[in-house]
Amino acid sequence: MNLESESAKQPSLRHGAPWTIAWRFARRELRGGIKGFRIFLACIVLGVAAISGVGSLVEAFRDGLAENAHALLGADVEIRVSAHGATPDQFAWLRNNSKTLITVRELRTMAYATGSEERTLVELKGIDPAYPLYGSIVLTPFLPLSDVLAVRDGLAGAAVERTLLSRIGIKIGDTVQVGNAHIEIRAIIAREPDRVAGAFTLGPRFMVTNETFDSTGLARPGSMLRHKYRVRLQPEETARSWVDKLNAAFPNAAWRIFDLDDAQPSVKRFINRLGIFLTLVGLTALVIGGVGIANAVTSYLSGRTETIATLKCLGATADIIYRTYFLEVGVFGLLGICIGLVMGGATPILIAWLAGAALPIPPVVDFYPSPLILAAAFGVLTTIIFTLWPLARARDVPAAGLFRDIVSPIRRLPQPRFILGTALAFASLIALALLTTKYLVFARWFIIGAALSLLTFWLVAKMIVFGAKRIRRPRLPILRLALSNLTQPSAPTTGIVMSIGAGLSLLMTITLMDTNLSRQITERIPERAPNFFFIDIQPDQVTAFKEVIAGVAGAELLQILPNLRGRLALINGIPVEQTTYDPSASWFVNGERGLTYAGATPDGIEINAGAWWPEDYAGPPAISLDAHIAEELAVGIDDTLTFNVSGRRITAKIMSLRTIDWSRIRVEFATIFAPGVLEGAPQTHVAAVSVIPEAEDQLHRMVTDSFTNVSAVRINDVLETISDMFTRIASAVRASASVTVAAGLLVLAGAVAAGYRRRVYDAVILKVLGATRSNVASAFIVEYAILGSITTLLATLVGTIASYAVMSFVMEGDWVFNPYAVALTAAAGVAVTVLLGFAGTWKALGEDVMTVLRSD
Amino acid sequence: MTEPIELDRSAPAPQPMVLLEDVHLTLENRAGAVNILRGINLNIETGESVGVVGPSGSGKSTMLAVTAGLERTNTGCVTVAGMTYGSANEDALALFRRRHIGIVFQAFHLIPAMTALENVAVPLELSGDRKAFDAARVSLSAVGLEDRVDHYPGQLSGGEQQRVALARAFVTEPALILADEPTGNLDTETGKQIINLMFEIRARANTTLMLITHDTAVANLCDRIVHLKDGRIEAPAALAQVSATHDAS
Repeated sequence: MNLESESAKQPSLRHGAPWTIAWRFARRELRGGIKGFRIFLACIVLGVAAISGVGSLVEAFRDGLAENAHALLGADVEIRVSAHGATPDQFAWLRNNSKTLITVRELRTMAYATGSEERTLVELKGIDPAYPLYGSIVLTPFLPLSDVLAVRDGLAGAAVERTLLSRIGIKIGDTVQVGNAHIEIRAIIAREPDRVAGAFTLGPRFMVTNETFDSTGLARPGSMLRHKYRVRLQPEETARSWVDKLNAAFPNAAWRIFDLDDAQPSVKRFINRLGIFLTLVGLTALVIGGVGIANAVTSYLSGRTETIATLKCLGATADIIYRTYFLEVGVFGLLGICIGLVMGGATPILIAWLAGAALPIPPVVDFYPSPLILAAAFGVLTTIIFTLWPLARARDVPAAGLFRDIVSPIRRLPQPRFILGTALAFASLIALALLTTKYLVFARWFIIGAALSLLTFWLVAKMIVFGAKRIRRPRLPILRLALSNLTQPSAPTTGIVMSIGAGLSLLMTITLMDTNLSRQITERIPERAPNFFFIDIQPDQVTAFKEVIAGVAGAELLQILPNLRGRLALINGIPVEQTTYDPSASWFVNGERGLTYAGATPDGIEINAGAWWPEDYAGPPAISLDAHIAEELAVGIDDTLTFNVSGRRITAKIMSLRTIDWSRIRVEFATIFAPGVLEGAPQTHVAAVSVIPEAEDQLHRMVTDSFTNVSAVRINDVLETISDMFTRIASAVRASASVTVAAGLLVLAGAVAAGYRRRVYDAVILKVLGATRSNVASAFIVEYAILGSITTLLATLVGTIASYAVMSFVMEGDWVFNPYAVALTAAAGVAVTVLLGFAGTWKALGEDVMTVLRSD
Repeated sequence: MTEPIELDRSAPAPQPMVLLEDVHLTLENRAGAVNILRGINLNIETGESVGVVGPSGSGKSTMLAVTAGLERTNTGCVTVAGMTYGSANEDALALFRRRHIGIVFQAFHLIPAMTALENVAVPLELSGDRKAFDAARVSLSAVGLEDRVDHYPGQLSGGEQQRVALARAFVTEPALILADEPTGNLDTETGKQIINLMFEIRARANTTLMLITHDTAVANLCDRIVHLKDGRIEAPAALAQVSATHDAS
């Protein structure tokens, strides 16, 4: 009888072995504990914790936004109108159709300490008694807001941000002058309900009543005043129906309407974008850690080859072997995922506890299943991708080796179904990453970049091994041994180069981007850059303003331009909401933008389509538009844009397109009108002035003394504020990206641990041959130094290219190589690789020669 | 649940338990091709015990592996218990082995993560036998280890480990036992005990035995001795000469 034909009749052979037997065997092996699976667990825990942590935190912030939406918006519906405010009939409609209506007015202006020369820019806010409609304001000392702001002994009160006190050297009870009004500082604002903590501002908050606001005399035509009408609706009313009614009543009104869904849209956008980036960083860490997972499983299964061969001798089929170890690895994979999920799920609690008040929005500490499910899915797929291959190879361990006492792991390719399974899991991982992101383009580029860098490092690792094998063996035994260690068949060179390299590349990219952004803010100030912008100069003050500037030695008036506010209403006669435009133009389309007008061609402009109008132009309304905006709005020469300026619609034809370099520090307007249209509209002027450092304070004092309504914005203060913000964000991003480096180091630690026995053997043999402990130690150090240096060098190259690409093509800015930052990061990379590698092998040097030889 | 391939035990004509016909095996290694088996012809009758002797590298262990279906021949035919291996796949061979062949190794090869009882139960568990542990307990009692059932291999002496290996090999009541130097890792006294035990159990179950050994005294316990040299079985005359030389030395 032929076994082949007999076995074909056995249905059980075609259906494989039952999982129950495999589970029974796996359970027995699992009694041995996590030994051999520590790095495996650490890699999964790190990646899953990072992804689920970021996801949970983003959800917690989103919930925080939603939960605080009423307080952050300060209303059920908010209507924002610029300088002129709502018309009387609009205001009447708002009052008649709301349960409560309050007006909040905001203006950037100067505050002067009474009795001293000190002054500073403040964010003035005028409120009605019913403020805040939602949430509560917290003051120090703990007093009711109405008491603090009330007029007492003829003096109005103000609640201010603490920084104002230190900035102009005042204390509670002192008075300051704002515009024409003298106001007593009575309390510190500890918490302002309708403001995101840490948001970008040019000055501290200065809160007064609307009556006090009026008494400052700053609410002049054309001033950069913002009106916010906050509405509490009748209980039966919905925001949507109310807004519909409002729009029906005033279809052409130039206002922006916000409801709860729109509360802090920029914060929402920021949280979403940062969330996507950090999720992808976490995914990268998981994939890098995947190399460690694969190494750990391969190493574990190598230690099990004798058991596998024995089981086969006893009649276990390849499927039983595969399923046994699949279940075993699966148990540890699930354990790692669960630990990661617990850590990730607890992240909002931890962050809320650690960062507390420093957070822009208080996160809502809760259980968020969706990010945990996503992280678990990523964890499962990564585990499958990196374990299927070694598990499939375990099936093929040749049992006959038991008769020769040499059972070596198989090195040939696994069966096609396992290769296909790995490929499918990989495709699913990418699909999942792409399907779960709102920023598809960014995610796609991130994945392509990560895949390319991993591929590059894999190729380089292969080249290192190939090259090291072929170079002439050095005479120095230490160097020879180091090279041999890199090239011998079981050397983990590829895994280490890939994992450390990929992590370090990301860190290098972020470091270079950070230094470039900081440099752009702090170092790229042009020679003739202004030191001050002066805003809210009234038309009748322009001549006097010029005279004041001329009177300060070392000061130069670089620009002075009319400044009006207007909102884009129609594009080629079609309401802007009904047109399709590039989302990048949202900043221009949504809200009021600055407008100016000019006859003569302004200095330093670059026309790249159409032509500038004649200086004495007297034709129909015409504009010159920023070419970039034109492209995003899909308009060109002879198209028309209609702006709503002070309640009047002005339709203008595009006569020229200009290229504006927004990175230049100067007053720029995307839209410049030809003469003859805006001259009669309410307006102010804005000026850019440069001054020698020693005359800075004098200029500041002279202008603000002469024109109390004019606000001075010190460029250095603005740059410092922006720079601080960038540094804070960059530090947070860098800390998150360090997770990928941590994953790389875990892979290194795993590889070192897996090769420990071989190291001990090498060390012992070398000692027997007469090598000293320092000889052997030197060989190990040289080996890791070679590995670390080549990897770091390549990571620097990849990081440099990536940062250049992002800075040049995404951020459209200049890029310079920062050798110091790169050298520091690279040195740290090499040092950590050598230290960790050597620390893992140090113990091998101390092993007793005879004990090792006997046991072998 | 996998079902083992059942032998046709009702066949009227007696047939050899092991039939190796012109078996050749060449393995490739870095040094080139090595001819390990060069035309082995061997017939072992059911119930017979055969001692296989020969110098190191003569191909003894490889012949055992070929008989167990763990190594594939280049040419020739291997038939065990009436079943010709042919080009049967690895799983079919595993299923056949689990029921009909017991193997005893020189290095014991117990599974370190399993207790003695679990080690012995493995072949039965693989066959889906619900009473695997009861049978394993009986088998361990038969080798005198009823008080060591819950010990792990690392907690047992070499002799005890080989007893567990014996219990495991016999637990399925296989038709054929393949033993590869079962006393090679044991001291003389323990080795003797193991061999006696093995022959005792074999006799009780009338199991066919192929035993590889370097020890002539052990080989002499078998019904027949075959001598392997350079991958070939030497003729009986040559064998007599070799035996005489061995005895003289």
